Amino acid sequence: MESTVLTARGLTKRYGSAAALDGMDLELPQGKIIGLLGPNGSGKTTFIKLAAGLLTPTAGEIRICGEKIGPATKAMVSYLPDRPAFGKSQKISQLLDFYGDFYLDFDRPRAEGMLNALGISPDTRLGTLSKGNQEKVQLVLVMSRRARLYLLDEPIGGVDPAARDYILNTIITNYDPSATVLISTHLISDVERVLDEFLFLHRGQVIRRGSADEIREETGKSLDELFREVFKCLPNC
Amino acid sequence: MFTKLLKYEWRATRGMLGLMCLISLGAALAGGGTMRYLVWAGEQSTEQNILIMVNVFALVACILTIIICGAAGMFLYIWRFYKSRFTDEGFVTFTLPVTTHQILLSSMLNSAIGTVLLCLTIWLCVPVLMLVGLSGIPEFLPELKEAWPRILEVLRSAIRQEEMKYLWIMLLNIVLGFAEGLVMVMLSVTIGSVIAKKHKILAAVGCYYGISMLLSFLIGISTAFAVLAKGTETDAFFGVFGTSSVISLIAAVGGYFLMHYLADKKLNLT
Repeated sequence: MESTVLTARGLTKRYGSAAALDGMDLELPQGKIIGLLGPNGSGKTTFIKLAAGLLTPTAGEIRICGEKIGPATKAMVSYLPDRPAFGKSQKISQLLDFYGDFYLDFDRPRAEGMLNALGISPDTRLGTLSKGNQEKVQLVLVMSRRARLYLLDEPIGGVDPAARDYILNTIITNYDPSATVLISTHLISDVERVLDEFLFLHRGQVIRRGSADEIREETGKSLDELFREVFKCLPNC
Repeated sequence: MFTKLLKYEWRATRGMLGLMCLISLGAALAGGGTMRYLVWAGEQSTEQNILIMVNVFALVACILTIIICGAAGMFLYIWRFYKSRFTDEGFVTFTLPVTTHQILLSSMLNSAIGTVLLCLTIWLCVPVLMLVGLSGIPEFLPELKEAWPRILEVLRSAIRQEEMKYLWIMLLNIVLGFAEGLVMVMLSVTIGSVIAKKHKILAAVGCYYGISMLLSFLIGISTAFAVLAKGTETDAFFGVFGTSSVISLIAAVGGYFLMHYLADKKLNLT
């Protein structure tokens, strides 16, 4: 029986008069790779950041494994931001030490193995790497944790197609199968091959969700085609 | 987890702190050297005016360098707090499995330790500059070694005296004033980052000026009442510094809890 790793009840986030999320109710099951799909401004990043504890909700609540957002949930959640977040002057070995110090579930040998496969030396300073490689390093750190929930915000945005394939392969080969991976993206065609489930987000509301395989069988369309069809019909997409 | 946070805060700032301390001491030594030349030139009644002018400018430059290092030190810790908490690096900081108290206190403690070390270094620069200037570099260490027991004896006898209570209340005032100042700067950065979508630094500066003016007004009013209300000069002295200390303590504690509330309940890292 699946257990629920994330629960959102009446989750609302407003920026002034604009509602980025509007009374969202959602449950995410354990052990699935779920795509949080939507156009720009639909609320994907806002939802991810609420789950990561970087934003506070205007109303409603969000819980991870039954716990309110706090140090306990942050120990269970591995978050990948949509842009490089570490200081550029830091060496990669220092980042490995940092993760090892704060996260008990960090698998350092795995991280070093992935960096070795990328040809990146731990003595390299982050600022000397290209943007794509910086993002890969960040992904390696995130995916080297044995977390219950992985929150990946636009992991393949802004990188070349070969790098996208590498990132997606890293995600599916390195995550714990009992964990849940939530990938937010608008690049549907690249990511749909790895998805178990999908959520279509529009103006802060989930408008459609389901199993990726089932929807392809039912409709005879790819998720990308379905996404274009659904959002073509909606205003302001 | 708190000690780990403190460790990484220290590591992030120790390089620049060490550099500023070294530059300050170097400037003090160099300034002492220029002062030594000026003392010698005065004794020799030399007419090498250009050299004298150059040494005067050099002495002023050395003193300014020491002052700038002190100011830069304060800026270092404000910048570190802002950058690690309210820019993209905040995505890492605020997703660590630590409490908001730990995040804030580690930053405050690191800033306090670094500022104290820098202040001690700058205070040390004054005797270094004077001793080198008056004695010369070769004589500096032997004269310091000879003077040190006398300095310690003067300090010991001063502590035993009745008048020391005035010094203690002033020291308490300085410590609490420092704590209040640190909290107010961090609170201003927090308010600016939480409230403003753009121009966060400008918002923080504006907050700081507003808070400073308010506190200055409160301290001024309360100390004026303390002076008017108390009878003797001693009572007025303790009234002024005691009141100022209490206000600083309340401001520091209140400011800290407001900062915690904003960082914990109103955080919006976009």
